[in-house]
Amino acid sequence: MTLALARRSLDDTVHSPVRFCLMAALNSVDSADYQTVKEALDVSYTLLSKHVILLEQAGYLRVRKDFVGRTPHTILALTRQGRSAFRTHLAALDEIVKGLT
Amino acid sequence: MERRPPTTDGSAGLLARADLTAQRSPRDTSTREGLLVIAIAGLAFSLLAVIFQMGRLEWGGLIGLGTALLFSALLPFVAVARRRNERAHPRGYGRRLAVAGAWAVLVAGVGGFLWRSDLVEIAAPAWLTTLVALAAVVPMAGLGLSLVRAAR
Repeated sequence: MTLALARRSLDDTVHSPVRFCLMAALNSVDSADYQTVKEALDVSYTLLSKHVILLEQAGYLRVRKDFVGRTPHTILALTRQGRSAFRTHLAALDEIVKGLT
Repeated sequence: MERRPPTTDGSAGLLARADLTAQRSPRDTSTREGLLVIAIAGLAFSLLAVIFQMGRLEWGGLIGLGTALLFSALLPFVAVARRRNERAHPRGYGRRLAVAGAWAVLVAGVGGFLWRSDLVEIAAPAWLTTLVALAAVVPMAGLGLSLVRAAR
C-alpha cells in the first residue's frame, strides 16, 4: 500500500475525533450502553447522539433502545461493516505513520 | 515507490493493538447483570432438575407444574432486569450467550427424551438427572460469572 493509497483509504465517517473514539471504544467490546460510552468519551449527550446517528446512518453502528421506566437505556454496538471500516481505517493510519520509510 | 505491505496481518501497529485490546475484558461490565445471568441459569437448573425427576416423585406432576409455573412467572422479571442492567459486554459475549442457550436447550432435550418420553427405558437416579440439569446451565452460569469477575 502506498502512502497515497493509505490516504485515500481513510474513512471520513470514521475520522472525526468523536466518531473515531466511539468506534475504538465499541470495537473493543461486543456492545456497551450509552452512559458508559458517554462517560468514557467525556462528551455531552447531544454531541454523542449526533455522532451515533451519523454512524448508524452509515451502517457502522447498531442502536437498541429499551426503557427503564421513562428513562431510555440505549445499547450501542458496531455492525460487521463498522468493524471492517474501523480496521481498514486503522490499517491506513498504520501505513501513514510509516511516512516515507 | 515500493513500500512495505500494510500491517493488516495484526503483527504490529494500531490494528494489532486494537485486536489485542479486544481480547481483554472491558472494565465497565455490570456485576448485577452477571448475577442476573447466574439467576437465569439457576432457575433453568431448578426447572430441569425437577422435570427430570417428576416421574419418580410422589405428586411429581403437581410439583413439576408448580416449578414450571414459578419458572414462567419469574423468568420474564429476571430477563427484563438483566436487560436493564446491561452495560459493556466483552467481545464474543453475544455469541457465547447464544451457544450457552442452545447448549441448555440441547441438553434439556436429551434429558427430556431419556427421562420424560416413554420412548426409552433408562434409570433416572437423582444424582444423574441433577448432574445433567447442572451440565445444561454451567456455560450460562459461567458467562454470568465472567461478567461479575470482569466488573471487579
